[in-house]
Amino acid sequence: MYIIYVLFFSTLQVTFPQVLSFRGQTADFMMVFVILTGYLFGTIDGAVIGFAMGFLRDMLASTTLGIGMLILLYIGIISSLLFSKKFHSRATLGFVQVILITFVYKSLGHLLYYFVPLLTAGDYMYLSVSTIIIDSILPQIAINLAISFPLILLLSYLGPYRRGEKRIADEDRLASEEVWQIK
Amino acid sequence: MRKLLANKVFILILVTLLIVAVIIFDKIPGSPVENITTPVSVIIDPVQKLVQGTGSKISDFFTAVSDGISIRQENADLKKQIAELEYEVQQGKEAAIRWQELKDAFFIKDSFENYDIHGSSILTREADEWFSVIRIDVGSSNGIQISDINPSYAVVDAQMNLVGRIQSTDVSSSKVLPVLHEGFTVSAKVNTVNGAIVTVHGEVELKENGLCKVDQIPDQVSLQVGDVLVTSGAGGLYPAGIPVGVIMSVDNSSLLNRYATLKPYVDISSLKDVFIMVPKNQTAAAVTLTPTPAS
Repeated sequence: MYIIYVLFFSTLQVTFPQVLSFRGQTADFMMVFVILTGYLFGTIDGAVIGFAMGFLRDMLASTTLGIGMLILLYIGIISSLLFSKKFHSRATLGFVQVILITFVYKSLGHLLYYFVPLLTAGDYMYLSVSTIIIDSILPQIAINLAISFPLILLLSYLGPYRRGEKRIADEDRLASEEVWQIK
Repeated sequence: MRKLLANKVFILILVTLLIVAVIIFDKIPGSPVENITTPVSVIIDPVQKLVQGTGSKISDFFTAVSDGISIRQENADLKKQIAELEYEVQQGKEAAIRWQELKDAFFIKDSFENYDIHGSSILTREADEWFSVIRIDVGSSNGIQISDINPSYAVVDAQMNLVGRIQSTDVSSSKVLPVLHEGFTVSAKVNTVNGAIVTVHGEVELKENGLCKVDQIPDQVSLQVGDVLVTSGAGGLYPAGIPVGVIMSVDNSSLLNRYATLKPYVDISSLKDVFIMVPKNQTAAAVTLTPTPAS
């Protein structure tokens, strides 16, 4: 089931970017799918799907193989760990994950695009903070939130697992998270 | 050792280092890492064409339905027939536009006799503002091969305007670095006799507005709003004379750092077909002119 969703959403995003966009920002199906997979189904699912989606993102729309893989791999892992215990992986609170991670992704991207050329080229102009917030970050959060509604329903009811099958009890999740600690 | 391999943090570090190695090796020309995407593209390209075709059919269907509903309100029977005829006319109009674009491409062949022209359709567009490379449906199997002798090829539209350059190729597809991309650079000249040679490149700040930056303007040259820039031919990658765009503004506030903004002629968002210019002296396999219609 994951294979179908991965292939479908990656090709959908790069085939109809103008149709699924808001104020110049394209709906990021790939990233939202990875966030929700990690949040709803755990770290391993999030990491593997993030890795696969990142590979396709690099293959379809990037100049360098590997950057998208790295980004979405860590997004998948972070979304499975961030607030998941507190929110008990409730589907309705997945929106908070989408907002937070979209904000961090866009902010870090703009910071990278500002500082790297500044260090290499010296005098360098970039977008103003208000432009970044109003024309980039906020529209991206809005469009990603809009597509996360159907994606949460899709993953909850037509997901790779039967409803409730993958819900890890708090005790089990705590135990599994202990594996991440180096003792 | 087994305990270490069972530790997820160790696995994560290992995977991260592997991906970093892939990123580094991908930047090395001729790296075998480029072949990783080849088998995957064999799977993804048919899927992508299926999604594209289905989306187009759905869009056409709803356009026809909405026209039919509005007309039925005025006159039920007659307007229903008109709606069906309008649907067929719309299909015919789109086909006529596409035919006109392809017909215009023959003028490219007359203007650039030393180049073979390969037609192709756009497969995928940008994923977001930072992953904005576009893919087309011709690759090494169609004679588009990146090598040390030919590191890239110019890509133009049906009106001969510069779209970008080939950045990498696969068996059945290629990636095009568009003119608005921040990694794109081309040497251009003002389209007048003895026009000044400048550099045009993409810029993140200007990309949002569909503009490029023009800099490295010679001291004695004064660019004007409305000046037309064409490729200069310097460097040998782009043939000389390909229209790039028109100057929209000039900033002379800093004498040491004068620059201008350029509006490219090409509208990438509305492009469906592009053409790759391959030098005729390239010692590649024989190629055929195969403008591939979008599915």
